[in-house]
Amino acid sequence: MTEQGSRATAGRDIVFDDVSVVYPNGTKGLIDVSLTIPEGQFVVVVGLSGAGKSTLIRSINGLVPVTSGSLRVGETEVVGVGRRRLRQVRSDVGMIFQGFNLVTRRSVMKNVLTGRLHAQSWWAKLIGYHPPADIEIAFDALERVGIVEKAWVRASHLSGGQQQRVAIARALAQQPSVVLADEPVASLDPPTANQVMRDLQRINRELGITTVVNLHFLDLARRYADRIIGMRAGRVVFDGTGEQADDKVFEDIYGRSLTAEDVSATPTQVSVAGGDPAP
Amino acid sequence: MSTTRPKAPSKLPATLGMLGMLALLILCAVMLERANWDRLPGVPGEVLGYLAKMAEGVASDPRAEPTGRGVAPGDTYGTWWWIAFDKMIDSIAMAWIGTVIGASLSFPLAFLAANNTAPGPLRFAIRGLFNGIRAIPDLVFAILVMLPIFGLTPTAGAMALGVNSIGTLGKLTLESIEAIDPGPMEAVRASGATWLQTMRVAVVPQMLPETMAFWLYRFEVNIRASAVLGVLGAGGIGKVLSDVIGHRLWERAGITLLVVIVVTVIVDQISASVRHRIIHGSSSSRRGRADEPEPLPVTVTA
Amino acid sequence: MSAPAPTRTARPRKPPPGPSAILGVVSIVGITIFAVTWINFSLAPLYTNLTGGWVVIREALQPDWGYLRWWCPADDAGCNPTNRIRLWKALLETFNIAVLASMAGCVLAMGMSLLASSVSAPKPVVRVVKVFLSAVRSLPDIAYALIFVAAMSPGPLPGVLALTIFNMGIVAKLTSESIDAVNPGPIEAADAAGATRWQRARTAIVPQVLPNYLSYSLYVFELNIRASAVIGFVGAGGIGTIINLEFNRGNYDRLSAIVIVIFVVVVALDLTSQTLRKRLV
Ligand SMILES: Nc1ncnc2c1ncn2[C@@H]1O[C@H](COP(=O)(O)OP(=O)(O)OP(=O)(O)O)[C@@H](O)[C@H]1O
Ligand SMILES: [Mg+2]
Repeated sequence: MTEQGSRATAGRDIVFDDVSVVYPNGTKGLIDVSLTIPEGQFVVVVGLSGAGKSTLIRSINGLVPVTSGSLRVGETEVVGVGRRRLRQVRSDVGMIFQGFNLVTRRSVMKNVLTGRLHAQSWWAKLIGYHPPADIEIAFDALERVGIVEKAWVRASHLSGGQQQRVAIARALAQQPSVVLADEPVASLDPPTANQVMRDLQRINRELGITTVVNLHFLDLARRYADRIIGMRAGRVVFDGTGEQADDKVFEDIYGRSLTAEDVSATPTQVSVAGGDPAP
Repeated sequence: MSTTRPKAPSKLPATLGMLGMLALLILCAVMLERANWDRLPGVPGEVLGYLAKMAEGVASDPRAEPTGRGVAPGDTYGTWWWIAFDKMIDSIAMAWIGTVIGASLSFPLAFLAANNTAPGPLRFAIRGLFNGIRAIPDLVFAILVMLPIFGLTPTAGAMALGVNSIGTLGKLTLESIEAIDPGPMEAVRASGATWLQTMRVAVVPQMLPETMAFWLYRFEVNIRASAVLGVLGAGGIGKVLSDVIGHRLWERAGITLLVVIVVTVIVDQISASVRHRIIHGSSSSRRGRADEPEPLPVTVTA
Repeated sequence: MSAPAPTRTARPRKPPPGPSAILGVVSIVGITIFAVTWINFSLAPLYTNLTGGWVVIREALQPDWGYLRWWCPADDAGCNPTNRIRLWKALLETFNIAVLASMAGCVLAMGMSLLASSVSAPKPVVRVVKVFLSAVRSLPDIAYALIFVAAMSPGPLPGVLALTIFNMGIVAKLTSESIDAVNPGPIEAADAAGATRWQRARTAIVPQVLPNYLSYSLYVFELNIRASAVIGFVGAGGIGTIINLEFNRGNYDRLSAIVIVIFVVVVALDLTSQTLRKRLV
């Protein structure tokens, strides 16, 4: 509570103002993007491969440097800040990756504790110590994704879905106000993908964490998003609710007509599996 | 009627290669002056003769007193066994300390030199240092730097091995750093971690097992290399070998060589099984990175 | 956090560190302490004797470039042309020794490696040959050099023989490991076609390991250039002979000039050999 309370309470929105990203090789990742993502919103970003979804998400925590414009996370400007300040922003923004990005040789707990690194005091940094309070935070995060019992298991022994939940717990352990997820379900089978998306949604609702997710599957986008942002060639080409995003809109985003496979992960499997297991 | 047969591809490149090698061989043999090639046919017989004398020494009763040249009063064959063993431990200690020095200096340097972790442009200098050290035989460090400072002591030998190990170990360590999965590093950095935290949490766990295997491999190499430094005067088994063989005391040479072989083989076996355990983990960890091959010693330059 | 987790489940206890981790740390520390006391390892001379070492190092930092001349300057009447060229002859001898020894060692190694892998040889043979090879590998190059120099007389030939055996040990081990890992398909095919052992090795095994084998051969060649700088110390020919001479005379300025030459030669040959190795594999 104190941890969160000490942060700026007013205006925790993420604000893109005319943001452009040009990669060192000249590729334009983002072109003049202006957006406001209000606190607590669950946003899904869709678009073709190469449209700039990852670039959009990564610019928020400075993994991709913004070349022009202004990008604020809460009260903090991300563009052009020093390393210290950037680490502060990052500590407030959790991130989840398609490939989980766990250190698979270490235990689940060690991986989740990565989320507490920003809170280590200087001497704890030196010897790599985590106080019991941090370990409890990590347990709490694992509890929210339902795999506390795996805490001391080597990460490589978990299934893909479990590994992704460890990654979510790692982000949660940061006690962030924003969670970014770059195609978090792309390496998972459809039922597991639904479960992970439900976890993300529940966390968004329970903790009020602003959540920005890149997705390839349109049905998942419609099902979970408060708001869908469509991207094409580095620009935002659609911005609206799930209901507004009908097939016509998706065709615009993707630049062609869609087939059944495009829209849904695998519709038959999900229904055969008896829909969603009880939350 | 048969169809046309395609012509077989030319064997010319392979033939030329073979001929080139043969020419090089002959050229080198001819250029080798004062080689006394005519003595070559006699070598196997002579060596067998010496081997027989060595075997006699090995087979002698350890309590018996040897006769002939080079026997100190009161020496038995047992004394020879003991001296060889004692000096072999010297050499192993020298090699171990050299490895510890090399490992502990190369480890941090490698992080400053690897492309994916180096925080600054210092990396080119460190890479240059690694490559430079690798090109210089360890004997050079010994005679130009360590012996003048430390005198004719095992410390000088250990220091020479240590400095020499920095080169190979540094290069191998930075290669295993560069081979890590970048994902975890990105994730840790995205959580607001500092450089040092990222190294410890995301990089070290991924590369440590391979690196420790390299350390052990280097230890095996250093045991052999310490013999060379012993010949120079740093003590240990090399000194004994050069005295004994140099004075053609074949019985004693046989005993000494056998001790070297047996001890080295035992240490190698232990080291190899520890390396295997480090890389493949205990039998329970099926997944993880168990599919990775053991590091090929071919990349390890002595 | 704003909302507590729905239910608080039991926290699993942290397992104690594995026995091998503890054992590993304890033995590393233990062996290091033992080794340090056993050989009286001490860095104290770095302070107490730096001046003594410094004299040598300072001399070495000013290489005697004149020593590298292979001709006599016109104004130097006392200069002996044979002496001038000796260094370069020794360097050439080093190269020759390395070439001869790596070729001879590798030819022997091919045969040995076929005998040392259960893919190509019967089990009892493999066992014997493996023991023999690890005994061969356990002796350092300098030991072979000492033996051959004592058995024959000093000169390059003992050097060639010593390094030949040394190389055979290394290349045979590496190649036999490659043979262990070859694709069994072609071997089965050769067997099915009724091939003899020899035919099978020639057609199904050797072609598969050839690139690796050649790469290992180049690798020991690189090693040999360095090694023949060392074995000359005990009279086995090559540049080491000169190093030994100048070392005994205490001419550190000459030594550092020689070292720089060796450095350049080693780097040049390494680069050539590594380019070739990259092409092979
Ligand atoms: N590190 C980089 N250097 C140069 N260009 C890059 C880099 N990363 C991405 N790009 C380019 O920027 C554009 C946007 O890439 P981005 O990764 O944001 O797409 P994406 O929408 O996430 O695609 P995908 O669905 O395949 O992940 C692409 O043209 C891509 O080639
Ligand atoms: Mg992407």
